[in-house]
Amino acid sequence: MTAMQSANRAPRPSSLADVLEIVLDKGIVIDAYVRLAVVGIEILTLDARIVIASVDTYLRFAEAVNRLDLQPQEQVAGLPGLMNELQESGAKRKTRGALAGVRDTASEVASSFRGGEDEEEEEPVEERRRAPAKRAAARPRRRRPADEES
Amino acid sequence: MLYVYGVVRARDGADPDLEGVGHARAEVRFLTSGSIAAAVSTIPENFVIDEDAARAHLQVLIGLLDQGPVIPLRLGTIGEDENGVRAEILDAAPAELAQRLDSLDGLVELHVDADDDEAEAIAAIAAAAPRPTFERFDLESGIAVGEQVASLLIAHRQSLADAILRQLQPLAVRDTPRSVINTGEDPVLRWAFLVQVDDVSRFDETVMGIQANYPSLSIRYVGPLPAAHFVDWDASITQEQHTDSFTGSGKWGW
Repeated sequence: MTAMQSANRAPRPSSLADVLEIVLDKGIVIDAYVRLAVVGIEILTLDARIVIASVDTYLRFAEAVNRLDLQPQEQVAGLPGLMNELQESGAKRKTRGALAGVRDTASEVASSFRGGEDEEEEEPVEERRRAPAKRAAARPRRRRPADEES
Repeated sequence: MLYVYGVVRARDGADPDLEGVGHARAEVRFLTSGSIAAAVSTIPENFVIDEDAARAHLQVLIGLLDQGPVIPLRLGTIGEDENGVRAEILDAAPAELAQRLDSLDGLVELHVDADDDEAEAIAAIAAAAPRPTFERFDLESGIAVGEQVASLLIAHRQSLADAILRQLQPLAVRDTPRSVINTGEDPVLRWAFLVQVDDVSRFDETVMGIQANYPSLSIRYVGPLPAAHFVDWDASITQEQHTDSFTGSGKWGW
């Protein structure tokens, strides 16, 4: 960033996404010839390009502003923690899809997107896991009979 | 089975400098019909398109472009045999293909991408009025601030993109966005330019100048590429013989 970057012309795009943008999105289609071999890539690239301005993004921006200390300290005491927690699952998952190569199956990519939802679902489960542990410690006898029955 | 890369002006034989898809050193050769030819190579029956194939396809198109205009076919275009390729591709719309090749003669596609550093951009935004401020330290306020930042980021990047385009557009015959700024996560610029070969060096200098003027921007500059973003096809040349209803409305499409 500090060193000035040269804008030398590269003979070809380096990233797979940029290659596909040219050869897959933009070539002329003669559909009698296009075989199912392509379909996997097509689904993959569609998935990889799903970008939604989500709550995750907004919170990431808000946190960036927050880090700049623009607001009274007492007001933001609880904010970074809250945002970190909410972001943990979300922020990373979009890049996973975009970085996936063609060799990954479409379903793998799809599941990496679903993975975000799964993680969100897991959070409450973790909470529940912790909570019953406390309850179990406080009232150990209450659970045991049920366990023995089964 | 024949893999088809693109349509070029009539020529015979093979091009030893080109390496096709499917297996190492697959020879790229030409099937001619009238004034046009298809660049093809033989592929194995179990051919599957993978990343290497996508890169090889593009590399063949770039190599063909050295020798004249190219109409790129979509990745994965496959014919049963030479007669099939001639009948279905070259003889499907020979006049239009030849005319299109003429219109692309002497023109190449260049891509200019620009990205900023998100943290720096947000810092710049936050330093200027109106400042996004937190009313409370809760989720709702966080989202509201993030929304403000996102819209300011979009405006900031759009103005950078406009400034860059003002310098580059006059040097291009045509230009088109490859993606546009819709959200706060979208980059500053993804653009394709159709440029006369003779103007490429001026374009080079201008891109270098832009990079010098905007040192915080990371600029990627790629080309010369086949004019994939500028091969618009008139739907009227669609051929009637359309037996496969699966893929849509016409023989020719995007």
